[in-house]
Amino acid sequence: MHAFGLGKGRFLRYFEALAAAALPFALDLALGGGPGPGLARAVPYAAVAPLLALLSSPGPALAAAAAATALWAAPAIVRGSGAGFAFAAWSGPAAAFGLSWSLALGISFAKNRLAESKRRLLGRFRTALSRNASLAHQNEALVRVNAVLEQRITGQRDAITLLHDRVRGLSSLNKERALATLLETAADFTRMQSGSIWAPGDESGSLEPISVYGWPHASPGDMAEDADSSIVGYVYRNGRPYSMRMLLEGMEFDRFDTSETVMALPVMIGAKAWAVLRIEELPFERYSRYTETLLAILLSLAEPYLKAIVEYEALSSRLETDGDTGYPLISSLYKTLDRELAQVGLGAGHVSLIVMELLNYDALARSVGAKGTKAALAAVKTHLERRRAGAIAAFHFAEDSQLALLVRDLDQDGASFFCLDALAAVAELQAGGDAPPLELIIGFSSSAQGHADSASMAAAAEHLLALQRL
Amino acid sequence: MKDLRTRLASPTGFVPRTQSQALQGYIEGVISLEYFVYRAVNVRPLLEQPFDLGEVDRLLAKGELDPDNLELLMALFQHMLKDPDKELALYAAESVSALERRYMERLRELKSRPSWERESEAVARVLRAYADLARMNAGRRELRDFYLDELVALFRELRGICAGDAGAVLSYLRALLALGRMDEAADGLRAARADLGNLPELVALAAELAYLAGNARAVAAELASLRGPPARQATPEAAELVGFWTGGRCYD
Repeated sequence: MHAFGLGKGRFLRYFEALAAAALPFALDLALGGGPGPGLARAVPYAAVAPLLALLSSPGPALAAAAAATALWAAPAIVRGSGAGFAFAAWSGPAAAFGLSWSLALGISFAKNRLAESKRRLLGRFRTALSRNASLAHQNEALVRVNAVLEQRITGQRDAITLLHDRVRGLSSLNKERALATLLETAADFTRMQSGSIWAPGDESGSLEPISVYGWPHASPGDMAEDADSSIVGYVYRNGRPYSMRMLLEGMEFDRFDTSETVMALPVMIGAKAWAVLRIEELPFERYSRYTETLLAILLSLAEPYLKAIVEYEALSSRLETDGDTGYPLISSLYKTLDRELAQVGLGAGHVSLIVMELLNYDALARSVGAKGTKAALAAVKTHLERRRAGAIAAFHFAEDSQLALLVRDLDQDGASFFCLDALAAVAELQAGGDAPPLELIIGFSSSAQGHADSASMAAAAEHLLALQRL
Repeated sequence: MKDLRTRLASPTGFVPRTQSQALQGYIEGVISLEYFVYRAVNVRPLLEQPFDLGEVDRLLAKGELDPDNLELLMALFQHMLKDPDKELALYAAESVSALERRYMERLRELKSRPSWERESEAVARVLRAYADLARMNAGRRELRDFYLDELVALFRELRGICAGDAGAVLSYLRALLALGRMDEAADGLRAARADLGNLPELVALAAELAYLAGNARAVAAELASLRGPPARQATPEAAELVGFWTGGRCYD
């Protein structure tokens, strides 16, 4: 319903206000014969405006105020005009209506301001709620992403730190263990199920498997591949890798039986292929550029360790060794040290000589025998290798009570820390109750101290030992 | 300037054990932002030695492990079983046993639901459970083959129910491939392609079949049908696989 251009709600409010304004007039008519002059007769009419301003909106309140004023004023003026317009009679009502209108306006203004403030506060509150909900939503998403990323890092099987960890494990100076570690590392990183390393065998013109992974039944010793007509032979002769994808590029590999080879990579030592790593079973989804690169990196990182092993093996096979410990004798020490110093002279790091001597060797030999005493000394070296997670080349020195260790890449500070490590190793062994009492002294010298040859290094180490014997 | 120890101290003494705990602590205002960032960037791979047994326990305690993490944990325990420290080896053995019990229980629970054999989704779930068990035992061939055989037998028994479910069919075909039963896998793949069409997963499986047969040209031919912009591929790994086989020379 739209009356007088007003909506239904507003019409009702105006109607109520006008009805309220007419109430004093109706009461006056019923009780007093109608409005009249005087303050007391005007006050009920003047009270309408402020009351309605409190209870209603400004429009209806002011309309009611005007109506109440008119409803009093018109009859009052008519009734009072006969007596004249005395100031005392009309000033009171005038002041009352003035006050009433002022109050009405003031109350309306105050109400408007309060409503405005309330609207603004509510608006800010709604914005804050909405932002809070959005942040909570974002937060939930971040928490989930965080959990996934955490899992990914924890579950990383091909982290660079893991690769470094495994490659360091190759420094065992034991060829079988090193090659097995190499294959296990390749398996961990590529998920290969079967692989092998092939090297030239006793028969010329053939390659034999020297280490295998994931071969359930075949005995490696029974197998051999012809170097001219097999894919591993091709890789070995040419020093070039083979990957199954290469079959797509031409007929070059059609003459080889590649059915059991997914990838074959040369294991290089220096510029020459020493062996071939063959991958036989690799999950389809893991056969990728990434795996090819990873294997190349792995072999590249392994090269220095394999080189050391090959050299040590070559040396050991030509040397005289001690019957009890299997370590080379002092003559080999000097030759090896001279060779190492020559390489150091080319700018390739440092080499240090550490000589351990058992002061109570004679007493121990009487109780556990010479073999047992040498074994105790060798156990110190083994324990030291375990602590340092790397193999150390050992040789016998001038006396049976002495063992010499050659350690690469240690300057004089590094060598002195190494000696402290050795003493700690002895303490650990003895604390474990696994070793007889050992009175160990240690002498050392390093190429970093400017020694020109093996004799001067040995003399320097001996000098330190002599000082400790005093 | 505050030193690291001060920044890593929490006024309540709370020490977050994991990155997620650190994030929650930061949200609650218990630890500083620096502490959360420190925790977040210092997560190490589980396989790195020395093994973080606390982290292993935390993963083991999770009720739901995704297949990759499950396989990782089992690989880790296989490493630990060979450790000279007997305590560690025993811990690994007990953990393997706990994981196996958990997954066997899950399988039993799936099979105990009423009428599971009549719903293709339920059958697919059971097949996946067998596949998870096989994957978990990747390092123990006999057990792995046993679970794969069970998977194959179950699919064949309920073929009429689940042959239309791509997930079930893929589990079945992958099991055949893993068991080395290539001819059966080839037959199954032909039937699946006839029923389900040339789904990218089936094309990839055909490529894998050719790969296992040592036929590189057939692999490339299959994957050529999936060639397209990387954004069209299902996953970045799929895009990489297609690109690897169908484009470029290797070892230039």
